[in-house]
Amino acid sequence: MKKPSPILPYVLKRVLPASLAALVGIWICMRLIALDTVQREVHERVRVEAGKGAGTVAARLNTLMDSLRNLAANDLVINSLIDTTARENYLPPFFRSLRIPGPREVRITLTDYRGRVLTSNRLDATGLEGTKCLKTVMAGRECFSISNKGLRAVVPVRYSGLPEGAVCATYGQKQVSQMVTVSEPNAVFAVFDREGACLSASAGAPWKSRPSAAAPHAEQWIEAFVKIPGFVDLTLVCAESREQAFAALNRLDGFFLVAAAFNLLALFLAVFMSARMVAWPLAGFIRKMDRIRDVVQLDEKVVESGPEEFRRLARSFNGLTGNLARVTRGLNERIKELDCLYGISLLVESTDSLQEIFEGTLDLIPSAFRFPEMTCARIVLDGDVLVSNPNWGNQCEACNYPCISETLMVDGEPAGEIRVCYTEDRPECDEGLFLPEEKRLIKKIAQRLTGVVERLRAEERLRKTEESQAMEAGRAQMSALVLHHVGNAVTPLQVYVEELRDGAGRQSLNYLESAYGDLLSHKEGLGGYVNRDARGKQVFAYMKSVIRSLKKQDEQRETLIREMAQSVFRISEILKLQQTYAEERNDAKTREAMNQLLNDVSDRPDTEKER
Amino acid sequence: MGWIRLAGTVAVVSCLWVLTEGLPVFGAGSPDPIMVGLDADMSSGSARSGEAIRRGIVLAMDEINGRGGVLGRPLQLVVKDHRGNPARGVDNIKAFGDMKNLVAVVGGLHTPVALAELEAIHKNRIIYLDPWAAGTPVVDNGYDPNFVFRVSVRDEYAGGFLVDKALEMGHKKVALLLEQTGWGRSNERSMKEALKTRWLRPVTIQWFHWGVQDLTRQIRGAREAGADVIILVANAPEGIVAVTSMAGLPPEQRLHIISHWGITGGEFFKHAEERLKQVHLVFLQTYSFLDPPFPEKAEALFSAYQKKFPECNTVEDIFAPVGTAHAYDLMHLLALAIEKAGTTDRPAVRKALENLDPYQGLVRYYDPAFTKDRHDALDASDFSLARYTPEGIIVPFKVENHVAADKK
Repeated sequence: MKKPSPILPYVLKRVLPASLAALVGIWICMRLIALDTVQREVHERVRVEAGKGAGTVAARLNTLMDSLRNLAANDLVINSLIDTTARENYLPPFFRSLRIPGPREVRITLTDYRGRVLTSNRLDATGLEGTKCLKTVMAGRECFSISNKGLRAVVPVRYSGLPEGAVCATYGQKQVSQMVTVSEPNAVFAVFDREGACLSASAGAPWKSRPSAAAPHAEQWIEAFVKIPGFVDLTLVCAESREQAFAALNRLDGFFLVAAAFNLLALFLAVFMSARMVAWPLAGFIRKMDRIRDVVQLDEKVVESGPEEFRRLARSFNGLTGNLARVTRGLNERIKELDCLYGISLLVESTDSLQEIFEGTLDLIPSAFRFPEMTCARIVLDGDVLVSNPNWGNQCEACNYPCISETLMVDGEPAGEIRVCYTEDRPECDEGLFLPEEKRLIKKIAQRLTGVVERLRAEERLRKTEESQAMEAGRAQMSALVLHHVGNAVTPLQVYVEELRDGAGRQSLNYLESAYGDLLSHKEGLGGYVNRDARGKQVFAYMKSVIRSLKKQDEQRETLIREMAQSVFRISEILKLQQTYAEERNDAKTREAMNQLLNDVSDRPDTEKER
Repeated sequence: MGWIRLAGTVAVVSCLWVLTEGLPVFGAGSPDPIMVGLDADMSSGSARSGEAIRRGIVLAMDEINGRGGVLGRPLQLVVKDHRGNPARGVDNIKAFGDMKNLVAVVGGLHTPVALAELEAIHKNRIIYLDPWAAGTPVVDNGYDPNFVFRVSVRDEYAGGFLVDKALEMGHKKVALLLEQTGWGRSNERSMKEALKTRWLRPVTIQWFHWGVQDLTRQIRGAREAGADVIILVANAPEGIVAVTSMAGLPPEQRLHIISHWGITGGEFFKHAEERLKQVHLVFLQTYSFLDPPFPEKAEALFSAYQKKFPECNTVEDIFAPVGTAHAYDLMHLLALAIEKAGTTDRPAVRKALENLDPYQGLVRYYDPAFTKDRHDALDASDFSLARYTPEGIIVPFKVENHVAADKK
C-alpha cells in the first residue's frame, strides 16, 4: 500500500494540478464566452448599423414615394389628365419648378392610363407603355423598381378613386447610387438589387455583387443582410472587418493571459498557504493524540489555536479526553469496588466465621476508596466492634473528618453499622467528599455483610431446629417400636381373649340347651322318644358329643390362658427394657442416640428380640 | 290619369308583342345588328350619367327593335367606359371605329372627353351623338363635315340662361367658379358674353382643377370680390367639394350657387345631402319627368322604364333624367336617319341626320332636329332650373316663387 504523503505535498501534488486544470478550463471558457460575446456584440452592432442604414435608405426612398404620392394627388396633375390646356400650359412650369427630395437629376413624367407620356420635366422622357409596371399601377398599386441601371417609381394618379394616369420618377445609375449610399465610419455598406447587382458600396467594400456566406471574403468580414423596409427588392449589407472588430478581443485575450498567469500564482500561494494553515494545526494535534495514546495521559490538553474550526476541534478533543479521563477514573473506582466485593465474597465462601469475615472486610474496604492510605473502616454488630485501623478511636471516630456509614439491618432490625472515615480532611469534589459509587459500595458491603450474618444465623437456627426435630423423631420411632412390640404381644392376647369369649363352649352350650329342650319337650314320652324317635335316638349321642366338645374346649382354654400369660410376660419384659434404656440413656437426645438405641435393640439376640 | 293607364297598357301590350312576335324577327338567321356605341363614364365620378344615358338608349332601342328594327336590322348597343378620362375616350372611339356595323357612338357627360375625341371621331367618320356634354366647341368643332350631333345643352345658350336666371333671382354681382377644362372655358366665354350683352361682367372668375379637395379659397375670393351669387360649372365630384366648402363657411358668408348641370351626373346628392341643407343650390336642367313637355310620351317612356328597370317605382326614381331623355330622343333620331339614308353608311346617315323630317320627341318637337348648319337640337327655350328636394329628387325650380319668397 502506498504510503500516504503529508497534506502539504499531497495538496500541492493533487489539488494544485486539478485547480490549475480548472483554472485553465475556466480561462478557456471565459475566453470562449468573451469571444462569443464580442462576436455577438459585433454581429449585433453590424445588424443595428445595417438596420440604421436600411432605415436611412428606406427614409430616402419613402420620401421620394411620398413626394410622388403628393404629386399624384395634386389637382393640377389630375386635371392635366383631362384638360389639354392645363397639361400643355400649366403643368410644364409646375414640373420644372418641382423639387423632389434627393438627387436633382430626377425625371418626373406624367403618363396617361396607357403609359403614354403626357408631360415631363425632361425632354428625354420615356413612357410606360407595355410595361408590367403600368399594369400594376393601373390596378391601383404603386410600382417601384430599382437596379444598377436606375430607379423607377410610379404612383397612380386617381380621379374619383380610380387610377387614370401615373406619375413616374426616374433616376439614373449615379443618382440611384447617391440615394442608397450609406456611410458610417466603422462599417461599410452596400445595397443590392433583386438580381444581386450592387447599387452602391462604401469605399473599401469588397463586394461587386451580392455576397454570400461561401464567398471568400466572408472570412474577413462580419456581415448583416437587411431588406430595406418597404422595398423588399433591395438588400442592404453592412459589414465590419473581422480584424477591426476583434481588435478589442485580441486586447482582451492578452489581458486574459496576464490575468491567468497572476491567477495561477495566486492560486499556488492560496493552495500552499491553505494547506499549511491546515497542516500545521493538524500536525500539533496528531502529536498530542500520539502522546495521549502512548502515555495514556488523558489530562493532556490540546492548545486551542488557529482557525475557528481547529479551535472547535481542539475543544471537542479536550472535552472528549476529559470525558475519557472521568470514565477511566470511574472504571478504576469500579474495579476497586469490584475487587473489594469479590474479596468479601471469597471471604464469605471461605469461612463461616463472622469474625474472620468482618476482619477481612475491614482490610479490603480502604483499597476500594479513592484515598486508601487515609481510609479507615469500622464494623459494629450486636455491640461487637471491629476496626481496620487500631487507631480508629484516635484518628477516625474522635475527629470530625467526614465519614459515611451504613446500618446493618439484620432480620429487619438494626444490628450494627459499617462506617468509613478519612483520617485527613479532603477537599470536596463535584460529587461530594465521597463518590456516589463509594456510597453505593458501602451500602452494598453492608447488604452483603447483613446477608452473611443473616445467613449464618439462619443456619444456626436451622441446625437447632433439625436437632430438635431429630429427637422428636427418635422418640416417636422408639414409641412406635415399643408399641409395635407391645402390639405384637397384645394381639395374640386379644385373640385368646376373643377365642375365650367366642369359643366353642358357647356353641356346645347351645347344643346342650337344644338337647335339653328336646328332652324337656318329650319328658312325657321320654322313653319313647329316646327309643323310637329318630331325633330322640340321637340325643344321647349328641349329648355325648357335646360333652366331648366341652372337654376339648376346656383343654383349649387352658392352652390359651397359658399363652396369654406368656404374652403378658413379654410385654412386661419390653416395658422393663424400655424403662431400663430410659434410665440408662437419659441424656441421649440426638438422632444418633436414637439410632443407637435402635441398633442396640436390633443387636439383641433373637430370643430376646422374640420376647 | 286615364291616359297614363292607357299608355301603360299600350306599353305592356307592346312588350308582350316584342316578346311574342317581335323577337322572332331577329332570331336565327337574322341580319347583322346595327351597332351603336356608348362611350361614357360608367364607373367614375359621373357614372350615373353614363347609366342614365345607357337606359335611354336601351329603352329607345327596345322600341325600335320592337317595331322591327331599322332597315330590318336590330339595333345593338356596345358600351365602353371612358371614366371621364379623355385618353380612354379617344381609345374607345378608335376601337369603335374599327368595329364593323357600327353606325354611331353616343357620348357621355364630359365635354373634355368629347373635345379630345373629336379628331378620332372625324378621322374615323363616326357619328357622335351627344346627349349631355354641353361644351360649345363639341359641336362647333370646325370639322367639315361635322359628325357631331347634340340633343343637349349648348353652353353658349346655357351661359345666357344661367345669367338671366341669376339676374331674375335678384343677383347682380356674378362670380364664375369654373373647372379648368374645355367645358369650363366654354362656359367662361358664353357667360362673359351673356353678361356683356347685359352690360355686366363677372366680378371674378375662380378656376379649379379636377380632383380639387377644397374650394374655400375660391369661394372666399368670390365673396371678397363682392359676388352675391356663384355660377358653378363642375361635375359631381367637384360640385360636392364646392357645396362642402360653401357649407363650411359661416352662414352669413355663404353665397347662392347656380350650377350648370354637370353636378347631376354622379352621386352628388348622396355625398352632399347634409351640406345641401345649408347651401342654396339650383341647377340647369332640360327635362323633368315631373313636368314633361309631352306627358303622354313621358308616361309611355316611364311605363317602359318601369318594366325595364323594376327597381324604379315612381318618376322620382329616374335619376339623371336629362341623360335618359336626351339619349332616348337621339336614338330615335338616329333610327330615323338610318331609315332615311336607307343604309348604315355613316356619312350617309350623318347627312340624313341633317335632313330629318320634323319629329315629336320626348324633350321637344324637333322641327327638324338638325340642319346642315345646326347640329344642336335644343336651345335655351328647353332649359329650366331645378333643385334637389331633401329626398334627393330633382324637381323644377321656379324663379318667381323664389323671388316672391325673398320679398316676403
